[in-house]
Formats: sequence, C-alpha cells, structure tokens
Amino acid sequence: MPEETEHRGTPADPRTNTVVKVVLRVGLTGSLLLLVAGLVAQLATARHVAVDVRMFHVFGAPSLGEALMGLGVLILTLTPVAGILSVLGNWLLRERDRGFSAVAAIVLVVLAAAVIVGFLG
Amino acid sequence: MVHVVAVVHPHVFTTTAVELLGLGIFAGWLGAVVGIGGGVVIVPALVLAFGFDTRAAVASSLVAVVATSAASGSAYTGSGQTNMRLALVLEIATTVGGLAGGIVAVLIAPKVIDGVFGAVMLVTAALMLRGRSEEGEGAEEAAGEPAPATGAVAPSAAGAASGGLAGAAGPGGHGASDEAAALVASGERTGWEERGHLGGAYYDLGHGRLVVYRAVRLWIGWAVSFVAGLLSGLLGVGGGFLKVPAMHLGMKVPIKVAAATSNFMIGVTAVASLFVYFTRGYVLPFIAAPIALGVAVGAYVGAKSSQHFSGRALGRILAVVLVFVAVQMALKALGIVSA
Repeated sequence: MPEETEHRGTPADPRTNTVVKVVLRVGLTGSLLLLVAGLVAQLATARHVAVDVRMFHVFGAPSLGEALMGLGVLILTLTPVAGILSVLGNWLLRERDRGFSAVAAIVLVVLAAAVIVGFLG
Repeated sequence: MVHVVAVVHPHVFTTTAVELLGLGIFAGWLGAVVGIGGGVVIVPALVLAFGFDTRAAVASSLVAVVATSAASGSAYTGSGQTNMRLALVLEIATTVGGLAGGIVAVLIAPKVIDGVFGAVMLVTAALMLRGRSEEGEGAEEAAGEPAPATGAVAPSAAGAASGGLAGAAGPGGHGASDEAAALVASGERTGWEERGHLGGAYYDLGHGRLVVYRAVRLWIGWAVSFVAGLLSGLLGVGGGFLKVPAMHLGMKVPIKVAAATSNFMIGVTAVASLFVYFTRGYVLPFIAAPIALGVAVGAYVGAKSSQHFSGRALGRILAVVLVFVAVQMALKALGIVSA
C-alpha cells in the first residue's frame, strides 16, 4: 500500500514528459519504418543474407535490405538514450534541477561505458 | 572479439522472416493481454524452435523489449503517470546490472544461460499462478490499488487537478502547476511528478480520486533493480516482474505509477546490455527486425482486444506452457536434448 502523505511539493514541468513522449514516438516510428523497408527490400531482392552487424558496421552491409534493417535496429536501440538526453536537457535548462540532472548524466555515462566495454572486450 | 557472420539462403530467409514475424505478433499480443514481457516467450522459441544461438536470441529479445518500452512508455509518459525522476534514479542500479548481465552472457557458455532461463521461467510461472489466484479472490488491495490520498478526493479530474495542484504549488511554486492542472483538466494528462523529490501525484480515473505519493526505502529499489538489470542482460527479459513489486511493495509507490515507470525503465535497461551484444555481433537484424515489428503490432492488437479475452485463463495456460518450456530449456542446458 502506498503511504498516505501530506507532501505536495512543487509539480515538475510537464513539458519534460511531453518531450520524452515525442522523442520515443519519433524514434520508434522511424526505426519501425526502416525495419519494414529493410525486410521488404531483402525479400524483394531475394539475395543471400550475409550479416555482419557489429555496431556502426551497418553502413557497410552488402545489401540495401540488410543496411536498412541494421540501421532500424540501431535507431531503435538509441531511442531510449535520446529520451534520457531530452530529459537531461529539460531538467538542466528549463527546471534547473541540478541534482536530478546529475542522475540522468550518470545513467548516460553507464550506457557509454557499455559501448566501451563491448568494444574493448 | 567474437565476430558473427550469418549466411542464410533466400528461401529460408523468406520463410523464417514470416515465422519470426508471427512469433513477435504472438509474443506482443500475449504480453499485452496477460501482462508479462515477451522475452519469456521469444527467447525459448528462438532457441528451441528455430535453433538460434542463445545469445543471438537474447539480443533479439532485448531489441523487442526496447520496442515495447518505447511504444508503451511513450503513452504512459505522455499521460504523466511515468515518474522520470524515480525511473532514472533506479536506472543507475539497473543499467549497471544490465551491463554486468551483458558481459557475463557473452563470457559464459550458452547452456548456463539456458539453465538460468529455465529456472527464471519456473519462478515466473509460479508468480503468475499466485498472482492470478489473488486476483481471483478479489483482493484489490493485494493487487495494489492505492487508498485515496489524504484530503484529495475530488469529483472530477478538473477539480482534482486544480485542487490538488493548488496545494501542491504552494509558496514558491512556479507556473508549471497551472500548466499541469490545465493538462489534467483537458484530459491530456492524469498525473505529474514532484520537482526535486521522488514523489508525485496522479488522478485515478477509475476510482475518481487524486493519489499523492512519495517513494521511500530507496535501497530496496536499487538492490532489486540491480538484480532485474542483471537478469535482463543475461536472459533478454524486461525485468518488470521484479521492478514493479519492488517499487510498489518496497518503496510504497502506487502500482499504476510503478508499472508506467517500469515500462520506461525496461527499455533503458535493455539498451545497456544491448550495446554489449551489439558490439560483439550478436544482434542479427534478420532475426531482430521481424521480431521487433511483430511485437509492436501484437502489443497494439493485444491492448485493443484485451477486454475480449480472459487474462486469468490465459495466464493459467501460459503458466503451464512456461513450466513445460522451462523443463525443455533445462534439458537443453544439461545436454539431454538439442534444439
């Protein structure tokens, strides 16, 4: 059961959530369109699928279909990161909430570390 | 560095793409109707039915988790039920766990992942059966519906918004309160979070009341979130089955806020481990693309059609299926059966 509380604090700027909503929807829609286009292109050309999809190698894919699918997956993967970046921007510039801006920055650092660890591993 | 190159014949690709699309639609639909993530269906299906490498299956499932999170997360975030401050504070622990899970997954033998997955599926099945039986007893409190917040019951959303926020803004409050109240009154939003704290409020349309909350016992959230991230990175599941109870029961966050916040979180968590899989070459678009597309379509159809199906009955059926599949995964881990 949630605690009943008298805390009412200051409501956060609702524009932050609105911006995140737009970022997530744009990223999702864009990536799904690319995935559809990639699948259709791949099925239409009926070539052998030879996939080498280490990060950022999607542009060197051997066919248009594979490149589009790889790009779609990459954009989908980066969509939540863009969401956090937009939150950080709003908290820092509009709300001037430095404490929680630092929290968002830490999460982004951990995500960046994941990329580095993957490449180094 | 592991370098995965998959070569698939065109005919096989066409057939498999259609089958994978169907699997994604089914997993997304089931997830929306029953209330679980698609990972528990997708990973075993890819490993046992399609014969894909476990780590490629986990990576594809994580891509589907991101798609699900972006779709449902955007809806909840727009309504104001997602508490972004709470989400990102817990994400510090969850992303570290997800990163650790991704590293462990690429280092250990796939059969170990199969074994752990089987065990987690058994636990999920048990939790589903337990949750459904509580639901059947009509235990609304057990299901997590919060009690009305003190002195905040209002006859309409507009009244709740203006009344609640008038008290909320207080001295020093800024113009955001007026804007938030207007958005709630217009029906565009149902909630808001508190600036500078892990709290907030939302208008419960079903019960006609304003619920005000503030999270407590952050250490519980961090501890469980780390474990959830670890399992997510290792097994390709969202981890919401751990995060939601931790936020609701451990941190006293209303169940609706916990579920909405978890929906946003699972996508970020999946990305942490997905980066590791990506850089190691385990994300295969010809598997991930149809699965992600299917899950997005299936989740949409499931959300629209959920009232036509008995979630309780489907949950029981799914629990039985999960037990069967868990045994198969365990047998595969032991080398008794092969995919």
